[in-house]
Amino acid sequence: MEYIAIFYTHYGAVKYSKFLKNKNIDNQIMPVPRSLSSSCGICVKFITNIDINTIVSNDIESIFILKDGEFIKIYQDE
Amino acid sequence: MKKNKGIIFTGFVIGLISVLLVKAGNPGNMGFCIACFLRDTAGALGLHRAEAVQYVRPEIIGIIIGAFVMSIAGKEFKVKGGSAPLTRFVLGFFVMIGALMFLGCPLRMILRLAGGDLNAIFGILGFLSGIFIGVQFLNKGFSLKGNYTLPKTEGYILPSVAVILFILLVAFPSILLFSEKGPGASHAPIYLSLISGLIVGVLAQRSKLCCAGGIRDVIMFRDFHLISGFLAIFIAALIGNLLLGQFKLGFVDQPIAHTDGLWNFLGMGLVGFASVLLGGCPLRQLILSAEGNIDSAITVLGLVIGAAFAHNFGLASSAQGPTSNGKIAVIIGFIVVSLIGYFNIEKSSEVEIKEAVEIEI
Repeated sequence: MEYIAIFYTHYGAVKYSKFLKNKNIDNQIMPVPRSLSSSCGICVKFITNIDINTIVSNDIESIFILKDGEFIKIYQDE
Repeated sequence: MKKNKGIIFTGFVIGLISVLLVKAGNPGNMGFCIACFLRDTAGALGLHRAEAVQYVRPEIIGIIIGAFVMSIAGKEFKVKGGSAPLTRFVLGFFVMIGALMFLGCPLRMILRLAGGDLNAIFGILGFLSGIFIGVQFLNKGFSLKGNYTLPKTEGYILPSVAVILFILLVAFPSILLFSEKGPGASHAPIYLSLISGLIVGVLAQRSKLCCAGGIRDVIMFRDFHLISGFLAIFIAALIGNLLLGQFKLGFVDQPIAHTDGLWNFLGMGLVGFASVLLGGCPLRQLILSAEGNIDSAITVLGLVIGAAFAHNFGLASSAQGPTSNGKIAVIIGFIVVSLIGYFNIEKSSEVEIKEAVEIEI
């Protein structure tokens, strides 16, 4: 599964990228694509088969999943 | 390339409109300048008494309304705030101090270069250096913390203020101050300025154009998306200026500019540094504030008050060059912004995992 996680803060994304790296999950830190949000934050794109419910951090604002070539929102922190 | 189309188009349109606004009466190389226009607006309201720079700029009003309407239409109007508001106010304040040392925001910096003003090169080098310093703070863990959802009414305030300012400008001009000479007296016709602002507001909201963000993304991620818009502004304005005979290459006698390279460098350095900590250049702050981002609205207020201080205390440069007070203010700015950077570095590098999350895929 390919995911994009959007964060409240820049450092939230930096920390999360390291967290994934420690779990040997391939990830890329990058600006949030315009199609996902009008905010100017940064996001982390990663591919994993681990249950996503076990790796949602407090810093994450929303999570998208790649389905049929399109990113669909599956989680929004309230 | 395809994903960059929208932002390149936006940059091109902004570049061309800027050139046309100068032709229609705006000051030289100042089709658009968020810093200068907020400063002029502050002057029109009597927040400072520099007689040469007082005019409610309809471009600013247009940008806010355009971005506001666009964000509503695109269901992106989200009212949020509470991320270190007073810190952002102070950062906005010093962005303005730096911009008025150089005489322009990042947008005008690129427009100045496109008009042949080579002093802008020192500004660009400073801007790059400032962003580079800011990025180091980001990577070390700088954060102004997250924001919260606020009542919708909070987000309607700034667009309402913009509408009221426009009503005052066209219906009750006698209560505003207007420059009789100087840059504040040079302006395109009101409705042309307003429509130009609306177009820029709409496009900038759609594309997320940001002058500081573009360079930040190149430094941090080798991502050239945002900067392609910035370059498009330059190319369009350069072509436009050449065609309309507004291009004049050199350092001396450039419109609303001085030739002190060191202070052009340091002024924009401060702008770049503080903008990266804020997460966006003055144009971007204006767009975000129209989308309901109250933290950005507070930043815009910081810019406005910064402009008022700059002229009340003789901090702003003129064609004759920087002032001693201005130099001291820029140095203080670097100290204050560095302290803000340092004290907002998160110590913890732990990721806290949320319990009981139920996502269905």
